[in-house]
Order: sequence, then structure tokens, then C-alpha cells
Amino acid sequence: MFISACSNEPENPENTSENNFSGRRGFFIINEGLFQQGNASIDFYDLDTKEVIHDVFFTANQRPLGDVAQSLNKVGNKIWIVVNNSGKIEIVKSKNFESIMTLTGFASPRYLLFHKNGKAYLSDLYKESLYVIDTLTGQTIKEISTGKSCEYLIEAGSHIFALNWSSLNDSLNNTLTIIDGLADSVVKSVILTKEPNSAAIDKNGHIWILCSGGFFFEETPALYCMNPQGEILKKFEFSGNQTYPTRLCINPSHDTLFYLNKDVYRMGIMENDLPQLPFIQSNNKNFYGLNAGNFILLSDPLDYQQNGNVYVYSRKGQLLSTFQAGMVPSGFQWNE
Amino acid sequence: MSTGLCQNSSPNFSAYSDSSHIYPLIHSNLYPDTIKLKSITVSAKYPDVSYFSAYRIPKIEMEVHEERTLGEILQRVAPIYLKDYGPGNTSTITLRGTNAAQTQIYWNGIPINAAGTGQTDFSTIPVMSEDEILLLPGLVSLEKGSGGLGGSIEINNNPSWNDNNRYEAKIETGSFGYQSYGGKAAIKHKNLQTKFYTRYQSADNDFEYINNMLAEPKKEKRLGASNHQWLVGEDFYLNADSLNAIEIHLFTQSLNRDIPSPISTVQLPENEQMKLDDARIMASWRHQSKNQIRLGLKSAWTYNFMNYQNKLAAINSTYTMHQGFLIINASKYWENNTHLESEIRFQSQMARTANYADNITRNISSLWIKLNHHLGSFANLYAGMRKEIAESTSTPLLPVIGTELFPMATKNLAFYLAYAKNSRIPALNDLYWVPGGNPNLKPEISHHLESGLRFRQNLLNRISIGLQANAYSSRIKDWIAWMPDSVMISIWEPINLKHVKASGIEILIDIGCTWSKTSLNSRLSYAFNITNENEDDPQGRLQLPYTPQHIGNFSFYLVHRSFSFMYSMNYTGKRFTNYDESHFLKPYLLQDTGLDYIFSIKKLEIKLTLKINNLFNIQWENIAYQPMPGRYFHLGFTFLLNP
Repeated sequence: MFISACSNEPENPENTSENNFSGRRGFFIINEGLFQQGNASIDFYDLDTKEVIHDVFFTANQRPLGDVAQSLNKVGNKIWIVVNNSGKIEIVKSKNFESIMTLTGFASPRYLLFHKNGKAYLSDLYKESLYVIDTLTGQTIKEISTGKSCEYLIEAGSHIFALNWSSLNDSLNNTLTIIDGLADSVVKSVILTKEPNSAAIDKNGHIWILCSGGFFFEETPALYCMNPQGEILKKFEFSGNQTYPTRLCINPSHDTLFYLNKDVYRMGIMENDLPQLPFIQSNNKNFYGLNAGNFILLSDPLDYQQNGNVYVYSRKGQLLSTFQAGMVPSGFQWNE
Repeated sequence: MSTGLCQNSSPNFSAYSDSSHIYPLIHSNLYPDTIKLKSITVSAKYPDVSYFSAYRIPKIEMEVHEERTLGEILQRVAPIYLKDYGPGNTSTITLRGTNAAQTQIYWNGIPINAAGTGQTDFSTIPVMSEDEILLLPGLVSLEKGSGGLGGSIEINNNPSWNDNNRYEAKIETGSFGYQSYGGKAAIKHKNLQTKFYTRYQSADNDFEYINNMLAEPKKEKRLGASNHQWLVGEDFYLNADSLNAIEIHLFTQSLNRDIPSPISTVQLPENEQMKLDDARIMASWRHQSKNQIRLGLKSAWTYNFMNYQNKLAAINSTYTMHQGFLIINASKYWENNTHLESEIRFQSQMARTANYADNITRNISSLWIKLNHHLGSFANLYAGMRKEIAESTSTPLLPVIGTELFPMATKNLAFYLAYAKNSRIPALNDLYWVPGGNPNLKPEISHHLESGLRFRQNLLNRISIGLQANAYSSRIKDWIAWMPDSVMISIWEPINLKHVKASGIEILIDIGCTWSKTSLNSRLSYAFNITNENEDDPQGRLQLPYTPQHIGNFSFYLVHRSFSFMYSMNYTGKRFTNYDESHFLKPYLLQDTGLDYIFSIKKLEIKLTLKINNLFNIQWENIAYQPMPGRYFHLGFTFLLNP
């Protein structure tokens, strides 16, 4: 067969030589891409040179990353990229993104959580269980039945907190499933508010969980503070019609929470009320991704039909730089 | 067919299917008969009417490729881009840079676009060689209704009073599990004619392709792409007397398909499936009085059912749509070459789906008035106005005005210039889909300016040469696009967002000749298009996604005695897949060929057909990550009985 066409080629591949990210101060950008259009990609931004390196996976491997890049974890000298709609995990070298291994056989993988003793937990939208993966071999060791679809994962002490965000197959989507990370078994389930979507751990070891209230605004969105045993310590309810908070994250000193609710909001972990005023106003931008490291990173997918923008703010909320990323930039990973 | 201006007392009537029994069109066919071969060369390629840039799909194309869908046939001969998700799967068209909802499809004058999406899936529209198919790009589509910002396509079933009774059976088989069985009958008795047709088609579509998403690209087999479809239709024509005619058209079909995933996604064969059922019935009465007044009454009902299932995502969605139509038209022709035409149309849509909060009923009515006046034999002035009233949507007056000049005082050479305003009311999903539907949407509004020339010359009654060249420019404002909600980004809603401008040229050339027992027909078309957003385009003129700037077609048919040979090629240029031109699909050139042999056993005529598609086994894609088949074959047997 003559090969005269290749799927969806980049118009101007900027980098044809090998990249080297070792020791570079910057961050990776997860460009989710559009559902069923296979245009997910990973970019890198160098904070010192202000250089944006686009599509580093394609450059290293001469093939597209896949369909909907969901999440990215840097573990040692490897990077694990969960490609949701391609049902796979790409494992690459963190220094140059050269492919090491591709893990397949998943239906709709979402988030990875790396545990101490050589295993990783993987959530899957279409599974009512968590995969347990051997991080050395990439083999799935077992599945932990949760009875509900799981989404974001976070570790607190010896417990894995799995957020039950999806209502697919009439699954309950207002709970948190707590798993014993040593026994790999479900400890208990805690009822929260509909659609727990993101979580963070503060310097006191408390777990903060943000719930958006449901796809049809069925419940009042809420922010929970829990201890590692899964007991609710505080609950903050959002006010106003049709608020939909997402992307909870915490700063490096683990004392200030950030989240998106159209604008960016900031809240100290000791405060007794939700903030009323935004920390960074969206000003007609569609903020979609948020990371609160040494800089506040925000993404804007614009109209979802073209490459999106990334904004770098100082910790005081001052805009430092703006640059174009790939299709639907949605997440960030610091190159630490 | 006459092409002289003075030979037809009312030339502007004759392209309407409503009147074609009065001025019957003589169509060509492929039989190895000298008389019939002659008819190939002299048959007109353009409607004999002031349709400016209208283009009739050549009869020979429909006869040779009858097993193909309307989309596939249009792609071969017309300046359109077919967005095709693969054999047997969804396909939509891009006409003059517009989107799929901005091309209107009419079946015997009844709009059949899906009321929910506003689009038409061209893979569900079969072609019968007896049909008349007109492509009306740009402003001329306003003749039949609003909404065709890119243009419209007419499918008309016409009687053939000059033909004898005939019965036809057809069997085809081919690569990738393709099978087709069909039958037709045309029976005439005095002033009553009926045509019956049926067809069953199925295919596994399990072709091989190269998966270049993998670390090591390799051949894979397409899985979960099978489809099967059956259809039945019947047409009745009655010439009650010399002044009254009645037509009834019935059509029903059922289609089941597996929807294959893009190769960039996890492959889950048979996870997604779709079932489509369509039925439509139309009855019309036409009356022509002796004082050059014509009256028409048309009533129709259409039914569409769609069920979509995604097992993994636990989706089982159904959509049922009933539409009723009543069309009343009247026209008057004066001896001073003035023609006045008017039409009132009532349309009622009733949608039932769990995806809307309630059952939806929407009534649309429209009024159309057109005046056409010939200034001697050298010019034709044309003016029309349409007003549409849709519940809860306000639409403006839509004028069209144009002129044609005939410097040779015949229709062999014509220049034209025209302007029109058009609009498209939002589709029901745009208004009512839960979540996201936006009841405050405004209609899309377009302004078109178009000019061109048509030339046709018959030499020695054996050679026919035709040329059509059009240049157009259009501006579309309030283009409806689905965008993420400003609060809840996971919910998308439609808004009147974009202002788009499209301009380009189209060139169509056809040549036919006949000598002794041999005939040759060839045609060439080329379209150049630039379509971009007026605003929000800081990088300059960026071509909209999936809108190729260059499209070209060439086809060649040679008939000698009992043999006929066909060759065609289709070139589709580079297409960007997103709005900032950062990714693209490469151009492709597809070439097909075929051979027919016809022989007779008494009154039974048998035709053997072999077709080789994608002759050079090109790997190509119409949509990113939706592979298309390499070289494949069709073998057919047609049995025709002319008692």
C-alpha cells in the first residue's frame, strides 16, 4: 500500500532535534486535545529562557500522543502520561520524552497515584474498580473493586482517597472511597456532595476535597476538610446560583488553597469562610487548568478549536508571561 | 433537449420537476445503440433555467455508480468536500466553505435535513439512476427555501413517459463483505405510470489500513464498521388530462451501522451502534390553465427515527421526528416574456427525545415571490423575495436579484451577476438540547454576490462542449458555534459567535462526442475556495478546518458497441484540522476505473460490471484518524427486461 497520507500532521514541527529537559527550570503542559480528534500533546516551558517547546512527545517519537491526555506524573526519571480516550499510558524518559513503554488494555484511564512500595493506582471512568500496576514491569497486578467509578486519587497516611465523580451507569457520584494502601482493600465510603472533582493535602495532613455539586447544579457545591481517617472536620458551602468550582490545588508550603470558579480563588487553610473576591479575575478568559507551585499557572483553551493559551502569574497574582500552548491545555507538571 | 432560448415558450419553468412531465427531459443511458448513444452527447448538463450556477449531476455518473451514496457521487463530479467517516458511516458535505447544516437537501421539493442537527448524513441518501439531482450552490438555493447558505441539493423523481415498461434486477458483490441486491420496475399504462425500486446493501468494511499511531506502525484490520441498509420506494404519476397532473412518492429505508472509533482511541468493536429509520410520502397536484397560469398543491409527511447506543458509556438515546408540509404555489407567464411565481409553505416539526426538556413542536411558514423578465433575447432580469416566519425566531426579508446576458441571443452563451441575502434558523438541538440548548439564538445571516458564465455548443450534432465558470463571495454573520459555557466548561452551548467570509471560483468543463458506435464523455471540475473568519483572526487569513482550498475531479467514459470503460480521479487538497492551522491532513488523489459488457438474450439484456476503486491503493483520510479503504473491487450483474 502506498503511504501518501499520515494522520493529522503538525503544520510546522518546530523541533526536529532531540530535546533535553534535564536540569531545566520549567514545567510541562498537558494539552488534552479534543475528544476523538487525536490531537493531545505535551509542551515544555523554560522559565529561564522563556522558550516554549511544543509537542515534545511527537518530536521524540515521531507519532502523535493520542486522544485526550488526561494526566501526567513525573516519577524519578520517568514520566507517565495517561491518555484517556486512547485507553493507554505512555511511559517516557523524563529527560527527552523518548518512549520506554506503552501500557494498553484500559477502557478510559484517568488518574495515577504512585504508592511507596513500587505500585501505582489507576482510576478508570468506565470501571467500578481501581487498577493496581507494578511500576517496574507495567503489569496490572490486580483490581480493587470500589463499586463506583473513580476519578482523582490522593494519598493520606496509609490510605488512598478515591473520589467518585462520575454518575455513569447510575453510579453514586457524591462519595469518597477510602482504600487501605497496604491491604489494597476498601475501608469505607463517605458521603460528600455531588461530583467531588479534586483534592489536596495541607501541612497538617488534612485532606481538602472540592465538590462541584453536579452536572445540572443539583446540589450546592462544597469544600470539605477531612482527617486521614475520613472524618469530616469542616464543610464550606458555596453561595450564588450556578457556581461550579473545580481544580483544587495547594501551594508548595501547603497552607493556601487555590481553585477555579470562573475566576481564581485563594483561601488560607485556617480561614473560616470561603473567599468572596477572586484572587485572579478571568476577564473573559475561560480558565481551565490551574497549578499553584512557585508560580500560579493557568490555561485557557479559548474556543477549543485552536491552540490555547497559558498564563504565568506570580504568587501575588501579577501576570508575568503569556504564551501559546497546544489544543486545550488543561494541566501542568513542574520539572523538578 | 432544446438549448435554444426561443424554442421554449417558458424556459424558466422547465427545470422544475413539477413541470417536467410537460417538458420531459431526455436522459442518456449506456446501451450500445446508436440512437441512444446520440442522446448522451446532446443531453444538457445544466438545467434549462435561470439557475445561475446550478449543476445537474450527469446521468451517466448516476447510472455507473448507482450503488454509491449521494455524497460519494457528488464528491466525484461536483465542487464539494465530503467529510466521510468511512465506508457505510456518517458523511456530510462542505459546499463553498460552509458547514454541513448550511446545505439544504430537498426531496421532490421537501426539505429533508435532520431537524435536530440541521445536517444531512449523505451516506443515508441513496441514488437511483432515474433520479434527477441538481446541485444549486450559493444564492440560487433561495429558490427552494432558506437555510442553504452554502447551497442546496435537489433530488427529484420524474416520470419518463417516452420509455417502455422495464424490469431490472441487480446483484453486486465486492471487497470487504460488500453485497447489494436491488430491483426496479417501471410500468406505464396510458396516462398512468408507476416506478418501483428496492435495494438491500450490506458490508463488513473490514479493510486493512496502516496504523501510524503505534510505536511500530503496522497493518491492522478495521473492526466494528459493518452496516446494512434496505430501502423501498414507489412513485406514481398520473396525467389526468392535458392540464392536470398528480404525483405520489413513497420512500422508506432502515439502516443499521456499527460506528468504528478513530484509530487514535481505544478500539472497542461494536461498542457504538446506530439505527436509522426514515419514511416519507409526498402527494402533489398541478394544474396548468390555458391562459398560462399554473397552480400547484403539495402535501408531505416525513418521519425520522434515530437510536444511538454506546454500551460502555451506558448511552441509549433515541430521537423521533415527524414533519408535515403543505406547499401551495401559483405562477403566471405572460406573452411579453414575464414570469411571476409565488409559493406559500407551511411546515410543522414535532420532536420527541429525552434530550429535550419537553416534546417540541415548531411551526415554520414561508412566502416566496419571484419575478422573471426577458428583455428580448439578450437579457433576463430576475428578482425574488422570501420571508420566513419561525416560532420564536425572527428572520429578515431575504431578497435575491440578478441578471443574465445572452450576447449571442441564444442560451449557448450566458453571463450572469446576482446578489442574495439568506438566513438559517437554528436547528432544534441548538435551541433545546439539554444541557446547553440556547433558546435565544439568532438565525445565521448571509450575503452572497456571484457572477459567472455558461457556454454550451453542439457541433455537427455529434460533439457537445460545455463550460461553466463561477466566482462568488459571501459573508455569513452570527454563525452558530457550540462553545464551552463560561461557568461550567464541561457544558457546551451554541452561540452566535463567528462572522465568516467565503470566496472562490468553480470551473466545470464537459465534452461529449459520438461517432459511429462509439461515444465519449469526459468532464473536469475544479474549485478554489478561501473561507476564514472575519474577526478573531489575529494571524491573518486562516482557512477554516476541513475546508480544502483546492478540489478537482476528472472523469472519462468511453462506450464502444457492447463495451464501456470508465476512469475517474478526485483530487482533494490539504485540509487543516483546527482553527489555527497547526495540524493538517495531506492532499490525496484517488483514481477509479471500471468496465461494462452488455449482451442480450432475446428480450433480456445482461450487463456485467467490474470496478476497481482506489486503483493505486492510496492510504488516505477524510477525517483525522478515520482510515479509508485501499484498493477494492466491485463485481455486478444487471438483468434488464424490456418486454
